[in-house]
Amino acid sequence: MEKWECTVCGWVYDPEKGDPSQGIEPRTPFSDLPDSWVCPECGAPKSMFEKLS
Amino acid sequence: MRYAIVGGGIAGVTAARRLRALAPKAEILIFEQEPQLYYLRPGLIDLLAGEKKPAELTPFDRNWYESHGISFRPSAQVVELDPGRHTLTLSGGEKMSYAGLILATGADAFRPPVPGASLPGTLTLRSLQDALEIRERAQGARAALVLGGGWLGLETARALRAWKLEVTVVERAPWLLPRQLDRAGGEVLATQLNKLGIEVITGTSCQELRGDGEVREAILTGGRRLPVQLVVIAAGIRPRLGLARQAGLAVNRGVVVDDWLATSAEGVYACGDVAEWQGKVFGIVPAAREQGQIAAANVVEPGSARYRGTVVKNRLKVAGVELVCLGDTQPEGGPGEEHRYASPQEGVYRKLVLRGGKLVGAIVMGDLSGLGEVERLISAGEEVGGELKRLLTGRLG
Repeated sequence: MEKWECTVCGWVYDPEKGDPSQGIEPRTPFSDLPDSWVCPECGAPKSMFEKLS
Repeated sequence: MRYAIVGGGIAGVTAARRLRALAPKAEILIFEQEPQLYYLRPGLIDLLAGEKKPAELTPFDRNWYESHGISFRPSAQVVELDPGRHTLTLSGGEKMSYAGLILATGADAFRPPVPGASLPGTLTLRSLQDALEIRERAQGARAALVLGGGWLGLETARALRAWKLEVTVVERAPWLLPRQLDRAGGEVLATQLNKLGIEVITGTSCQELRGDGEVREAILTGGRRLPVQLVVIAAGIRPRLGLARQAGLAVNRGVVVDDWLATSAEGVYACGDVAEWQGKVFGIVPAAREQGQIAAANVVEPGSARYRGTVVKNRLKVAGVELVCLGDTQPEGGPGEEHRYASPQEGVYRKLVLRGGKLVGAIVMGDLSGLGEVERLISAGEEVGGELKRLLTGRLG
């Protein structure tokens, strides 16, 4: 599954790990994250993420 | 073909990744003086507050670098750069040639010349090691002083509050965040920080730090004395210019780069906190990322990518205080037309700056509703027109 990087702070969303701090289960693809989800590091919205090459 | 990057922070690592994409067969090396792999510097605040572990700030592990063919060498100090011969030398004596070089050496924390600032217990926050050391010191301290009411100073104050310390922030300017906030906004912010138990003293500097072996007391201008066991200096950054100077590159406040992020030496580019473009050293992550990508593109194909600046965006990472500053906020007035909305009791303050009918800057505090729209308008450069009142009051209107 693809990893995505926050363009504001550089934090990387790894779908294998999910984001327990916001109740996101491991193995959740980035595209399935709710619109209310934000970068757990800096609070940037989902739209500020770019797919990691 | 070998590309060398000096510095493994966000600018250097972003450049390495772009190089990898553009030049699949090239050898890519990153030399980093710190002993760790690349980590998220903004996350050091969370590390200091005890909310994150170092591993959580390290987005790429050893395997990642290996699988991407990027050689990341920690604890590696580049001591000499010879742009004429296209060679660099490491502190151990190892010498190598390069086809292209990217300087991403970053910046050091600035230590103003305050008497007593070298006493143990007086620290700056820049590296992972710094954060761990401050955290350790905080365990045995009752009261801490933060010198500097900029973004880092305020976030440091919040992190130290997490350890139940008495925290005082001293800012030399008449209000907090003087480069982005205006006076009215600074006052609203100070009140919000007071509610979190952070004392804010503006228009004041620290004259001297005293202590017998360890810092114990701060003397402020005006004569006030504060008992302290920990002092964190957050007085801004200074680009690390040693290598650039040694190599004979043109430097000013930072390494001077053109619109292609080329330095004065052929084949050498600079990006991130060390680079000075059009007189500006941005010192923020989004600029470091953009510049890293552009420097990489131009190393591979000179003239292929042009840098046009980064819209400055800062968001305060202090739980309970929402604050975002975007673009040109005219802290002390200026040519732009200013519109304000304030509700200080609720900690709400909003200022929009327009030029020729277009939004060029904004301060949004307390209520972030409509922030996305404000950001979009600043980036797009469209005229604002009838939406102004709504933008100004957010959902409160």
